[in-house]
Amino acid sequence: MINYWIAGIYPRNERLIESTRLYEKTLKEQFKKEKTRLLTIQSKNKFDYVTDPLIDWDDNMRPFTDNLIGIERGPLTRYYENNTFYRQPIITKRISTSGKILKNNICFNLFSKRPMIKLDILDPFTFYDLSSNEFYKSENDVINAYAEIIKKELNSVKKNVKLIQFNAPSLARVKEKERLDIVKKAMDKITKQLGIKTCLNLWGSDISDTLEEFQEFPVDIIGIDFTMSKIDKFDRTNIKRGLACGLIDAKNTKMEKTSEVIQELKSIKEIFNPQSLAVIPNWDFEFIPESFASKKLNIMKQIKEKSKVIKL
Amino acid sequence: MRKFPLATQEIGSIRKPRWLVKLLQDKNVSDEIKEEARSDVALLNLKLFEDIGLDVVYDGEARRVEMYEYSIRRIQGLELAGKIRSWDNKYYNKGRCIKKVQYKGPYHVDEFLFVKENANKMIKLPITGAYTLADWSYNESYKSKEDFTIDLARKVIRPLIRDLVKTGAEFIQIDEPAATTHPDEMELVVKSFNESIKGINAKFGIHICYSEDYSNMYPEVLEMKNHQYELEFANRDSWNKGVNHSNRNGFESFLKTFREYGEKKEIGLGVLDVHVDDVEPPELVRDRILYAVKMTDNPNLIHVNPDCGLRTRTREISFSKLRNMVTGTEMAKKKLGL
Repeated sequence: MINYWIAGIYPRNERLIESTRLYEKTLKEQFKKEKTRLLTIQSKNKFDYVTDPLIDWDDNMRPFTDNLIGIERGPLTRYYENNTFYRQPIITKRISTSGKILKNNICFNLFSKRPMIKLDILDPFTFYDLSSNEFYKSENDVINAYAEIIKKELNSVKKNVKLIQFNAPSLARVKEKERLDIVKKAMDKITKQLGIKTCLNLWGSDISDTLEEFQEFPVDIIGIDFTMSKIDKFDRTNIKRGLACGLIDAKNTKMEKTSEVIQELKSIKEIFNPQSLAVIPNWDFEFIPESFASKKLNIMKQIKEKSKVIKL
Repeated sequence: MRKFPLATQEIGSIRKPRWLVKLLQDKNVSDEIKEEARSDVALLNLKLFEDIGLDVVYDGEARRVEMYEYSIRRIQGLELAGKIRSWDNKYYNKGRCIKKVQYKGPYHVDEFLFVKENANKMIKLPITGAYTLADWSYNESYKSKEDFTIDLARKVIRPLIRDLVKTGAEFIQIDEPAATTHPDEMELVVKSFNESIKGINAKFGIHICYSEDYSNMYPEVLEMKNHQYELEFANRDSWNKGVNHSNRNGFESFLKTFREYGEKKEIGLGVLDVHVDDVEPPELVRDRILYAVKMTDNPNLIHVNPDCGLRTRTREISFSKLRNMVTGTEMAKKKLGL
């Protein structure tokens, strides 16, 4: 059976875009209403994990940039190869957290009863890579400092959560084994005694030549962006864990054909022999307008339904 | 080509007055009156730029919704998909390519002719380049991004530039803010630029901003047939005065590379950060210019401008910044004996 879920920041609808631009007084209420709507869509359509759509986050780092001790808000900086910018966190002192950043910025109160909540957070290397370090002596120190922050944050919310997805676009670009080893150790620290299923989502890059290294990471599911990592570049392997397949292009309005995605899932299953298989978007949906994201959710639903019929 | 050391210029857009935005949104106002209002603001911007003392001017893009969307609406094969975040609560309308692109006819000629009729200074006309149009749009029609970009360059931007030059445009700034987004695509940026201007005689600049490191453009950019780079630097520079490397950290890397490659093209030096309301003191502008002159050893190569269009600032702040830019440039000229 195929699982499915969304990830990262979901696009704001036209009404919200206008309201945020005007800083309307009812903004908080509007965010709440829209989040509730999006959570309901996920629940009604039987998404295997339900995720806070994070529509009130200004970028993937912002709650941390604004609330971590030792960090200042830096310049607008390009977010990877997108025409989208984020405020770069500048590390000016030793970083620490109250442990309440996720608690205060994820809408736990809006989920229905006993939901399968998935929580998205960046991996420590991506945190490091998107920051500017003016305090720590080495890359290793920054990665470990972020790992401590992530660990403390996750520990404070883990009782509510069934899956933690580490979105790792910067890590996906790393090719050097030594660097990957540093991050692996940091991930060990984070996931040790966490007691929750985890997914390392390697967004935005071709990881066909580093998959072997990533298989050493202490996570239950590996997410691969199959729009970047072409299936025919992988050798047949036993991945020995779950696989989340980024087959829905969150950066293009062109709609996927259900039959083609199913075909790719069949090939992926054959090549990787994963313990579980999921179909997910290859990035945050916020890179396409809300009306297109909504259509893509429908396509994901159709894929799920079709996969049940053909017993994929 | 005539040398014009430390010429001051703007990059493109300036915020529209609130009354104009209101009027443009009013469905009861006729198109004719709206066009008249746009002309009034174009003239106002032009005269304000000239009064401030800029050497090279345009109309603050008074007639354009936005540099990208304005073009998308006027190219066959492209249509708007919806709004995408640029940063925080700022969004832009993103286009999608639904069939092969075609030139529908010139879309900057009328505004250029208006500026030409009213300007007393040198004119620099900004247009959006093929690479950025392709990079910022969803490609649903072409097999590759390269095919999409080169088709835009050959079938849309080149005929547009040809029409603009026919009507008298002498200096065209091709805006390519996306140019350094994908460092491994620099060859495509250069190819699309050269295809866009192929066989056309005019002065061409390329405006690029918010790159991680402009040095990454080398060596490919040496093949680009532009005469000027208009680049953002102030956003990444310190606000300390002085002409040492440590004070001018935002400029150092590119200028070193520029010097190493023995470049002889002009640099439109971004000396104003367009994302902050703080107004750069003239002394800071002066030192940024002096540092660039020190690094290039040739004031003829340095032109002075904001990092990017000033549309994100209020008009008051924008004009204050530009005034200080002109004053700072005068101070630098004095120091250099120009």
